[in-house]
Amino acid sequence: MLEAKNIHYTYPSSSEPVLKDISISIQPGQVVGLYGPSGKGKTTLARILAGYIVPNRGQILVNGESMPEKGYNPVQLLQQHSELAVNPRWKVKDILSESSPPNNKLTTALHIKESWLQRYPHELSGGEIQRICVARALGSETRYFIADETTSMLDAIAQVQIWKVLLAAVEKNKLGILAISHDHALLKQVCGTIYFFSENDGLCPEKIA
Amino acid sequence: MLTVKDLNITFSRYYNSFSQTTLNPLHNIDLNLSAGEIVAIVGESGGGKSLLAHAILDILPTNAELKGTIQFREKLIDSNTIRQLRGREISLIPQSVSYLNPLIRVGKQVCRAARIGGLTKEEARMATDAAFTRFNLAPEVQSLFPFQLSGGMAQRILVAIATVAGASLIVADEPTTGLDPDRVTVFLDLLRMLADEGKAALLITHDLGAAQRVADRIAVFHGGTLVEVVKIADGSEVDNLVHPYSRALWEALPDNGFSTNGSSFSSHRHGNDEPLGCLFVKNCDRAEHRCRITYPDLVPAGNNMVRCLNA
Amino acid sequence: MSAGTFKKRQAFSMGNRKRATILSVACILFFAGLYVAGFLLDDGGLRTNFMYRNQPPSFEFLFGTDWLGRDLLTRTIKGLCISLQIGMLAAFCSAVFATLFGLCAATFGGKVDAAVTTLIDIVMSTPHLVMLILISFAMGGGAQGVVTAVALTHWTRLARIIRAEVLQLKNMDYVAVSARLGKSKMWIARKHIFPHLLPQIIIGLILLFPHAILHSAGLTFLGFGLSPHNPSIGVLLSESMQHLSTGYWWLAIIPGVSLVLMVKMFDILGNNLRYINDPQTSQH
Repeated sequence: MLEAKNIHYTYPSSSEPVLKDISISIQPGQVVGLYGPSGKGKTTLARILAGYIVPNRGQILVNGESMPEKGYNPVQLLQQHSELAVNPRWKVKDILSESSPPNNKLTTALHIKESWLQRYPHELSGGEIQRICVARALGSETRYFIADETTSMLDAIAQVQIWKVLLAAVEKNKLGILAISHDHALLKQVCGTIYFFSENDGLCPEKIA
Repeated sequence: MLTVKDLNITFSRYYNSFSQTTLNPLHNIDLNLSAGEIVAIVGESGGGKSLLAHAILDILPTNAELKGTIQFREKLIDSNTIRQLRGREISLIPQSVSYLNPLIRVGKQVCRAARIGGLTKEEARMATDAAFTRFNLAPEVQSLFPFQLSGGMAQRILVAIATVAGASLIVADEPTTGLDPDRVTVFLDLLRMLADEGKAALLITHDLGAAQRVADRIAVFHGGTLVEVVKIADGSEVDNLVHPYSRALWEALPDNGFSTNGSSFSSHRHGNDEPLGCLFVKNCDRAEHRCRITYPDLVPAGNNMVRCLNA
Repeated sequence: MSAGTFKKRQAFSMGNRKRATILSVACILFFAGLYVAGFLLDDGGLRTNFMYRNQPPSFEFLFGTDWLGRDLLTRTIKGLCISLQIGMLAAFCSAVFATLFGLCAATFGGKVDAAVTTLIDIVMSTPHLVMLILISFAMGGGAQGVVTAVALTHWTRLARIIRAEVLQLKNMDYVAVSARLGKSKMWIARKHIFPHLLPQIIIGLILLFPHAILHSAGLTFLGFGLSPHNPSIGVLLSESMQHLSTGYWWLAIIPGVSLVLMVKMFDILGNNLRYINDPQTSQH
């Protein structure tokens, strides 16, 4: 289980806290949605959960233990601007195999084409780079996925294709996913539980009809 | 108001150290836009839709070559005339608030846009005040800095900057990407309001859902060209799409089934050679032999214009 | 928009990269040729020959001769060759300092960073020429004086660039992703950071050459640099001053123009390499 316990966070440059006493947990095999207005700390929470930012107070536990500082992190983050998450000087095949050699089944399911491998990121579209990032982050040691607006830059077909792959991993490997999006319809499609993120009350679970 | 005829854009690029190849990311584009109309260009992300906007504003990169004609009010646009039009008659609504100067109060930025658009100092001040009233912004907002704005306010300021000098053609490139639903609504309502006042708007987006809420016509972009142009009756949704790609795009929307029958891919055409067959043929379940050898034209099919031999 | 109105763009589109490459290779070949020529030329032209004193440029003596009858062409080539060696050595030392300081400041941060930044500010704020003269003089002049002086004063700008670059790279998302994928700091430095830095260092080094060459000539001209026995450009220019009023213009103009041309070529080389190296511009 991926747990965030009583997280507080204030950016060094600001006096207002972005996150006040936020707790959330994601079970293996569970897709949790997070929905709410922008600029209220959803992305900060995503980065804290994936270990990119250390919270001021509170802790992140992966299966009851604190997150490893070195080595492969079982929690992987997929962000909106995928082009920032790849080294512009690397060829696609190097990016794909940064963690482990790419899995053929996975690349086929993500419609990653052979012809992309010799290209550089600026020669691919955002949707194509995002597929590469998904394939890279879906290593065998990945247990939890934080999908922060992962598909909001992409067209509907690319969105479906990427989510089908993620949901298949949830089924098969008991992956846990936190999906953050403005697109309520998308969250209703992919998530079992949806939380609404509000400034005053933190996270409120939302009933799904 | 705007007429695009047989627009082709080719890029030369290096595929290894010294050999150049040409890409043809935009071809056979025919489109017209009349006053009071919103046309949405919808298609795969990164597929080259934005190039159309860049071509109209003449801000293509230097290694691009353009063929075909773009007319604005019956006059050809070229590198010389666009200087007179850009910012005055034709304006761009950028993608995000990061296009605002963070160090200048927003009132001044709107005013400056008006000055650049050719108004005198006095006129610009009045136009700025008028724009703030019109877009429902309190006069105090004029003295705020961009970081002090809420999302919705920032969206209104961006629109105010684009329209303060009275532009009659508005080009919006992916204006709703990454916005929360409230801001999307604010933006779409503003766009509709401007169109109802007689302006023409070209909305470039990957979000078919947003497009169908506001556009008069939707042009579906795939593989570097328009594969379908469909009229939308007021308030209704598009349900009469014909081209297999547009159908796939429609069915992939979370509200309409979230299914993946199609593929969002199109390979860019290389070079200037005539395409052999339909570009969608590999992903199409209705493809026949003739689809592989004949390049389809955009032809009327029912109320739509469709680039498909089976339409 | 008709096809004809975009001539400028089309003309621009073909082969900018080819042109940049050809220019760069031409510059490198020129420097290599100069260097080899400086070694191969015999010292015959340097011998005094009072038969041919103060000859203006002619077919026999392309660059003319000086007041001792020495061939100015030989002296200029030898001089440029010496300037090239001194310049390369000084620029290389500068670049090494710059890399070390820049890397340390960015990697360790905190007090180290503050110390390095202050040092950079101090070096940058003192007048260049005064520092150069002082250091060269303290080192006893000569080649070692010039090299040390130039090396100690020219590293600051490149050090700043490297520091900023590393700080920026460290915060790039793909570096953070790499760490989450279990890569060690060394691996990230080797695979992500260094490949970005290397072209910066090389281009910075090449753009340091002209400064180093000009300043070594300047120091020598002022008498704080190489000894008059070395026919370096600075010495040539300095000596020519004594004969300027007598109308022997070629003694000053020809070595001076050659020096400026060489410096300009280094500039062209650096800028073209930067152009080729940038993935954004290099597609045109």
